[in-house]
Amino acid sequence: MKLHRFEHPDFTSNTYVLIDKLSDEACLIDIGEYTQTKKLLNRRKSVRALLLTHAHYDHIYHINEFLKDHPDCCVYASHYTLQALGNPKLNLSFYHEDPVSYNGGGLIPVSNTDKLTLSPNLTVEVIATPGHTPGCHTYRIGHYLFTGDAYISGHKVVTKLKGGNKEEGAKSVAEIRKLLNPGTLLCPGHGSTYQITESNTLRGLLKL
Amino acid sequence: MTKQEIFNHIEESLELDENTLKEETVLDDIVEYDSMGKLSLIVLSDEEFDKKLTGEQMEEFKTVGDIVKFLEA
Repeated sequence: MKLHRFEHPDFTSNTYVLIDKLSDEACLIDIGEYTQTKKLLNRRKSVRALLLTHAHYDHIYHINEFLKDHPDCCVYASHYTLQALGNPKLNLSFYHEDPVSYNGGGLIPVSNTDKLTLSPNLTVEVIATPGHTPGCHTYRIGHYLFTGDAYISGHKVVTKLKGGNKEEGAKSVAEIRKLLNPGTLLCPGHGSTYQITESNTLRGLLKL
Repeated sequence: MTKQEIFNHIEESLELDENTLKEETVLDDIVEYDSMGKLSLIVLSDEEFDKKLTGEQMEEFKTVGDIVKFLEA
């Protein structure tokens, strides 16, 4: 597996592209950035899945353009996130100059503890991590942990936006911390990835 | 809606304890009045007061009282 991280220049939100080197298939996590992502995907055989951590506009901003380029790609997310995709007020893009909504097909709701086998080498574990929004998901794929905005290294979880819940956010952070084993690569919705190792586990957990 | 209720809405949107804010509180002195806090207030203005509030308008606000006046008007 090869992981690429592309950051939107204004929103700073991350789009992750995970490539299965054997099959040359790709899986995306969020779609806020689509300039560098598109260049990379143009060279791929196919895109198996788009996993959405949540539906705030900075994480879904280019979903229409992406699905136009990859109409066979399925979108996996919580019920709430899929609902918010089609509702600019819920995804907050209504309050941005360029509202975003997607009401097309290919949307597949997933829930806590679901396991998706997207290809022989690509299994996704779904962990519900509400708080930032009611529908936030964390996805674990191998040693990669994609937390979206439910957990960002060194930052308090933002729960003051619509649907946010401070208590749920704290519970989700506690759940995510349990998943930070040595070897895990923490991949947040904003900022750089963070490698958890034997030597930095304690220091890392205290810092986060 | 009473002025106190408006204060409470603003405090809730910024995740502040009740009765934290006063009319003369300077917005730049509120740590929670960051980009997410501003977005939260824009949503509040739309959903609770049916008023469109833009980022440009928010730049004009200096104190909490300025926001309250806007929401009351």
